[in-house]
Amino acid sequence: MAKKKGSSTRRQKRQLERDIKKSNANYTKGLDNIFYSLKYKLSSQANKKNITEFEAKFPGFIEGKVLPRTIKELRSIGKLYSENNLIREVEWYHPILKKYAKEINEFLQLQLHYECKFLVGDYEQAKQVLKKIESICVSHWSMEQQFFIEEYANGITYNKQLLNNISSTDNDLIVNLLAIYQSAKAEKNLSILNYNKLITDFVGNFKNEQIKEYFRFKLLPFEHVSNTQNGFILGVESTSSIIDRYLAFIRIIINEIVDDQQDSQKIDYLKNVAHDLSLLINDNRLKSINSLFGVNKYIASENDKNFLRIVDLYTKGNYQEVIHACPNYLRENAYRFELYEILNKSYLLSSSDFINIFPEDSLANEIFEDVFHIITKNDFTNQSLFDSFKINSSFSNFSWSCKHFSFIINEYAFHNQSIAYIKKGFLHSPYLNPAQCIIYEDKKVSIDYLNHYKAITYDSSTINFWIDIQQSFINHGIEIPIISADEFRNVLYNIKVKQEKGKNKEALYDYIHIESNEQFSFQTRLSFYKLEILHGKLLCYLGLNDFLPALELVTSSLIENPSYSNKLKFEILIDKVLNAETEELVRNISAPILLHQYNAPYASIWIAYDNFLSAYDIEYGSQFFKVLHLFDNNKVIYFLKHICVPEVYNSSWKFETQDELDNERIEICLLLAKIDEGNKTNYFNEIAEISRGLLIRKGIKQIDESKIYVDVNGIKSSIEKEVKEIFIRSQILASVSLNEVQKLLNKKESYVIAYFGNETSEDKKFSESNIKLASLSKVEYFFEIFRKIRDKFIGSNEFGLDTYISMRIRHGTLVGEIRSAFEKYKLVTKKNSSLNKYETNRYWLSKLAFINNGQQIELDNQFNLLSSSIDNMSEEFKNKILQIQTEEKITGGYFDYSYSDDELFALFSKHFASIEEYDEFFDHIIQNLWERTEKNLLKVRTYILQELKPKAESQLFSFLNFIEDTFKKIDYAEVNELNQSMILCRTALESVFNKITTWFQRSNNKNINNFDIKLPIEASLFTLKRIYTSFSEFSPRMEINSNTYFEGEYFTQFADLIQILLDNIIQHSRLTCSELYVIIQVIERNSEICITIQNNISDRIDLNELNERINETNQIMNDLSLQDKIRKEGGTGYIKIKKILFVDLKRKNYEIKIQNVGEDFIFKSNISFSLENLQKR
Amino acid sequence: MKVLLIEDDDKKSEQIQEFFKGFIPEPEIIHRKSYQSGLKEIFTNSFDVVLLDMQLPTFDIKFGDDGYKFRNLAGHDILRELKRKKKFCKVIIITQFETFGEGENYIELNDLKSKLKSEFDGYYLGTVYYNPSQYKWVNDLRTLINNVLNDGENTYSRG
Repeated sequence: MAKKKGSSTRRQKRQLERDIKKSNANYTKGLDNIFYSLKYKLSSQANKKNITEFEAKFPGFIEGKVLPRTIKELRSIGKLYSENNLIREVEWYHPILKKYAKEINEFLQLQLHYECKFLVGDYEQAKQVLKKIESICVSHWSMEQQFFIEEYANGITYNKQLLNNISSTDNDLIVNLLAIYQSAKAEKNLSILNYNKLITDFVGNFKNEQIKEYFRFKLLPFEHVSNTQNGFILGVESTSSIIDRYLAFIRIIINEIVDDQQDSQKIDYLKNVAHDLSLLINDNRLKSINSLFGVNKYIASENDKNFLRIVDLYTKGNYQEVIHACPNYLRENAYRFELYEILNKSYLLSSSDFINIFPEDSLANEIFEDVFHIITKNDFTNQSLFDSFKINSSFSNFSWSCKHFSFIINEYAFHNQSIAYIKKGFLHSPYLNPAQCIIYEDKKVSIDYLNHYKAITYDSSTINFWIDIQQSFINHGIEIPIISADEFRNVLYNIKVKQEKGKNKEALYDYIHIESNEQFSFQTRLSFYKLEILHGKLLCYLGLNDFLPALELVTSSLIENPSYSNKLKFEILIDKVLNAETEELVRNISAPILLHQYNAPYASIWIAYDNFLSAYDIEYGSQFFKVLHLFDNNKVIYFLKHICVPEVYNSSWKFETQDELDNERIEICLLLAKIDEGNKTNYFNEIAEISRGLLIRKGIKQIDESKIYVDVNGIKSSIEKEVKEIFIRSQILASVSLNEVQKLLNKKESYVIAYFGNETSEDKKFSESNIKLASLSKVEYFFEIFRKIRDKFIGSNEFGLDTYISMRIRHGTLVGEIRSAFEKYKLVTKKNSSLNKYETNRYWLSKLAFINNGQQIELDNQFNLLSSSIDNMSEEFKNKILQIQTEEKITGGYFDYSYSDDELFALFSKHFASIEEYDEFFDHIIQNLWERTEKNLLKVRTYILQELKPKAESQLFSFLNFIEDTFKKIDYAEVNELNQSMILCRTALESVFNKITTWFQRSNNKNINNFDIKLPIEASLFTLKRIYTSFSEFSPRMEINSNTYFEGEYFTQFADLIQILLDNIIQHSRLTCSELYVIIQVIERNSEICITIQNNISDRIDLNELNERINETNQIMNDLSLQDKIRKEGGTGYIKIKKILFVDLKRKNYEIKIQNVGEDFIFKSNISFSLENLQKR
Repeated sequence: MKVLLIEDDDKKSEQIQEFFKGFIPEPEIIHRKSYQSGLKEIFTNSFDVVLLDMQLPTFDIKFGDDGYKFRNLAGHDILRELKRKKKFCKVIIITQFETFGEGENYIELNDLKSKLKSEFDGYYLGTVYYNPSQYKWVNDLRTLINNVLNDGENTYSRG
């Protein structure tokens, strides 16, 4: 077999030789094949001659553009092949890195210089150094630095200008793609969460896992933990500049060595390459890799010795001297991150005030302050950790970033998670540090490192201190005390060694002893030492399997200082609490508390909470007062405050509505206010906030239930004069005798009418005792009055049903509500009115980008069809079903108020003719109209549930069938996601149609008794956010200066008014939610309220046209009559506002004024009206 | 046979109820539409089998109420409560989804089945993947219900 393989290799080699001879530059495909064969088919050793020959014949083809002079030249030559073969790539990198060692050395030296200048905010100098670096070559690294300098020196506009310049040039695709995200990476105000999301979304666009990994490596290096594609990554970087190649190479080698110790052959090979390179490239990282394998060939510069001298001052406890020596050194060597921590700790240990030694607004200043807060464990600790993650993510390619990351992760992560990062932090360091000895697994290798270090520097206390520690690990029998540091650290580290050696009992005893030792009371009160001791004690308890004291220690410590939580997190404690095997643990109040402190999911906290309460026979948290005395007060407060919350107890089946959850929380807040009096204001504020939520929900319910409305009092007063007169005339007509009536009754030309003397039921007998007669004229008068009132009831612009249906249902709300279920899952798009076409569904089409063109077109058509079907269905419902019909106006609408003459005769004879009082007569007619309305509403509700909803479901079902038929053989997560969205949409439709059905019910409920002006604003916002799903983050600024409480019955009118104004903004500003900025101002003066709403609008809007329309609207606002326009849907709705003010709120004095829009593109409208009679009495 | 159906999708509920009517003479089917009302029903009554949707609103959606939060793994939560409170019930999950939850809580149907089987052994009988356009779910459900019936008979005969 071996012989066969050998002969095959020879054959391939000879074939290659022939190919190289034949090859020419015009036949690039041939060259590509040769290159591919050279790189991957035969070993580089076997190929040596061929490679040299090929390189001589086609210079640059193998190496690529190693030293590009411009961004355009970056990646301009070189073939991008990668087979994800790490060893093969390193084989190819090795000679090239050696060849360009001089350029790499030059870069490494300048890089530190550049970083120092940048850190201290000297961007001009940093720019100069960057220019020098770019004179070696341009690189992705240098491009990233350009973005940083523009962003930090000149602001985001310059950053984006630079991006524009780069993107508008025809550079290599990878260069331009990376530039977009490097620019985002440099943005100061882009949060880490948004940056991560941006990159994750970008990476998610690729199907190929290797490409994903490459971009993660470049843009999220600390998130990039997988080493599976390192060969591929190096392959892609092999066409970039020498700087990028070296940086990728060194990072990958360190990752491989730290994370993958299993493959000893691979590690040996990488170690040897690193060693060989370290002979030419002066990089501390290569030396540290050597050192890891027992080869110490470090060189210490004078700068390194100065660094060590400062660290020595700290070790010996000379903190004032550290404070004196550190600033100048650190400002010159701002990349030496350890000193940020040492100086900050020295401030605390010498009780000195914190002084930020770096220039204001510089990056170093920010990092230095964050380190202070993180060490101090104060109220800013978590924010500082968060900010530090952001800085670290942005500056991930700076030399100090790994060490910075290991510092944050050590303060933040679960125990043990940080070990690999600490190792990487030291291995990535461009300079020496004695503490690096902790990364060596073999303590003898550690001591060798320290002795070598001492040999190249001097007899340092710090080195001796670390030698003491390492030796005390080696000597199992005799205790060798640690004596080289200050007294407290000597004692502390002696205990730590005991504990690490597994002597948990002794160590625990010593920790407790040191805590109570007066001599060290200053140090043990300092947060970072206190935490170190707590951490040590906790490790001892866990080592001794003593879980209850561990639980008590953690929960009490975290109640005292929540910032300790990251360091005191141990998964084993969570497991113990979750499994709660003993009664002792179930009955322990600390169990649910610990889960909350460890940020466990609410579902887990619920179990611990419910088990705990059940153990004491308590059903609700609010009943906890019964057992308060059994527990420590601080724990009770914590339990009630953080555990007894709706997110936890919503898993209980004993609460049936959200209101019940909220009311329970109010009870708990009241209890808290009693037992934690110092914080009672906070609890009362929380109660106020919950009550507000309850009130908003009530308000929305009131709005939903008030959509079917007629202003009966308005009708009565507006037609009283006219109708009452007719009624009185009809009463004057005399009756005739019964005999005459009987003769005339069945004749067509009859002119007298029989009626029941009292209002009666259908089956009452026609007899002398109860029958009276009236003239035909009286009947005709009745017809006239009834129809007049009916017409007002349904059609009055001011008071009628149709106006309210138009304002509260047809005007946008209905279509928006139906669409909301589909929009939530991005299944429908909007219609472009100018093109009369639905927009392409980019969301799903880009997700399903892998389908072929034909399928994309067909899918787009189906989405359009779905959108148009849903809109048409809603429009039909709105324009045909929700219309008024009378005997004269046949519309097919379901609000059918047709009364035939026969019906009216029957009504007259049985119910109305006997009524002698006008008010009673009017009320009876209204009552009859309401009865008719109830019948109509039932028809509408039936239509919604039996026709409209099934129609919408069937549209969705057709679409679902199309997707199933088209993609049945495609097993992609995205297709599954689309299917799932459609199914969820169907469930959402159920809720939407149920909600719409509630609009078609009459209710006399008055949910809101009184309200302040903010409540209808909040309720309107809530409704609009639900209708316009893309505006779910819509959040206008409110400046409210009003103390008036309004009468609850006006709530719906106020909410209508605000909703029209805000709806206008969303619909007409032509801006997206994030672009829109809205201010709502409310002020009261001289018994008048003034509501001003202003917002920005798109600068694409034609101002002349807009101002013309504003002038027209202002004119209409000044016109006293209310036009038919009230009932027209669309438009801006100002006429409807006028109607609300004039008719519904009965304002005689009011003003609606829209200001003309100027070049600032700010739209502003003012509405003011008198408060008289609107206030709650 | 006394059946509790906890399902918020009306169409799906109708079809499941139709299935029972055509399969078992005079089934007694109680229908609940949320995590809370379903759980309350289980804790206050006894059933031969509980059919459970995986995703449900927390509370019943009533007029003017939106059911509070939607629970992506309501079925799992209900099973967890049954086991925790030691209320024995035979449970069949009937779902129209192949994946559940998102982010850290994302889980695929097959993984969910294994998880339910290992976590709720004795309670969980199986999962039916409901697709209204196919008949497979009917056969799958029939098989599981037959198991319940046979198991019942065996229990009675043993008893």
